[in-house]
Amino acid sequence: MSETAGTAATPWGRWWYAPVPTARIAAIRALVYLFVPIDVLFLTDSAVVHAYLPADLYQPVLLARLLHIPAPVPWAMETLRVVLIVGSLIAATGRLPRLAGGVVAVGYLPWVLISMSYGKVDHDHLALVVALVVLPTAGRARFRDADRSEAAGWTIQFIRIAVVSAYFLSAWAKMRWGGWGWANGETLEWALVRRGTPIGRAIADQRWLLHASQWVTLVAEFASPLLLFTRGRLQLAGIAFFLGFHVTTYVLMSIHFMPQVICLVAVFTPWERLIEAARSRTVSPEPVTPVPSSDSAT
Amino acid sequence: MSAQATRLSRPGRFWRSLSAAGVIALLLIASAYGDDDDFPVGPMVQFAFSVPPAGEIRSHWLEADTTTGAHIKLSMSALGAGLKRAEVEGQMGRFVRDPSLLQGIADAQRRLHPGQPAFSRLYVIMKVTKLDHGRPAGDTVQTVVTWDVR
Repeated sequence: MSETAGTAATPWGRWWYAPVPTARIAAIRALVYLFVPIDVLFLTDSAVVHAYLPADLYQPVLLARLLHIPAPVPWAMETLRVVLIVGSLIAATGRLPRLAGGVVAVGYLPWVLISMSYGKVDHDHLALVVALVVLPTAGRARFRDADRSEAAGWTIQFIRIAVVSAYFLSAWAKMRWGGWGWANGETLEWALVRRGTPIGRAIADQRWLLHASQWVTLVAEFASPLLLFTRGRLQLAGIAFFLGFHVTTYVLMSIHFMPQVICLVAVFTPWERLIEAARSRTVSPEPVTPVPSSDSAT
Repeated sequence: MSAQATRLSRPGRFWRSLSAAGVIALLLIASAYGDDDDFPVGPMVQFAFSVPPAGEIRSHWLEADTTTGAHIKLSMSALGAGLKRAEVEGQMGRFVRDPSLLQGIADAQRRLHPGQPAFSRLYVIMKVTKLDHGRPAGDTVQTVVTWDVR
């Protein structure tokens, strides 16, 4: 069957189901699933710590109430953490993609819901939740695969949408609650006063700089859907901008957004080309033998 | 490049399209009408509020007297108090209405850090930084809630 037969006739079909090399799925899985143990050990470890608190501090979010997730207890959370770590380490190797990946997806949901049910919701986990749910659907994938698949295409587009949504919807929320005056307000000052690093506090007096940063942030977040429809250097520039944005917020106020960053890098990198480049370098060492020059011989 | 493209079956494509459309719809609806309660599809409300140039910046944290007589500021991460600073702030209204909720933090600290001195009294502290033309112009620090640990 020819490759063009795999693309649907409608723009929706072409955008969602353009076949993508399955090697890319293998790389995304490795990155995302290796990040899960880091997340449950260091970023959402509050899910375990919360289990030591009395149940009256548990304020379950809507989905946790719908799923009847009870207030956590320490042994259950420690067990769930071990399951998540083992499951994600298996899934990271590409083995049992549906079973191991499914266990991680099903286990991570209550984990992250509990972590967010004590009075504060963090907004850096949307893309990771979506990635864990959709990655098992792409089926088998290996680094050496030369095949392409529509399922891989859909999986990657879905995670891309989640990554971009986190940016675009935060601009929307700024308009909904902050209004058009948001960019000229003192929100960044607020953040720096509350949790600025020494570098952050050093620039807190430069009001014009803070306002300019707010405008840049707002425009970039509203423009983020362009990441979905551009390619090549333009897209690369967009990715580089957002990586720089996250580095800046970390340096100024130690806000890291790691799950979002991992997903951003995972789904916008053409891994199969990097794999191909790495392999051609290691597989063919013979052409580097030096040719003896004729005049210096003997 | 003769890579084979694996196609999806009609049902495979149908449920994928349906679930993608469903999630996108939920994200848009939650951003338009929802709040943090709708996690993970809720609106991205981080920093989505405007602070006026003559406004004020509030931050809250926990402090404690320990059984050894020391007065300490609790860690802002969950490991210190069982609640992160943002979580303390998220439940501020409840602590003010019912200070006995702080007892749970003292109990959790005893279980999490049995080797450390226990808390005898807990304080919720609020710092208010007044802004003048968008620049900090003086802080006031006050105790909002105290709780004698049982």
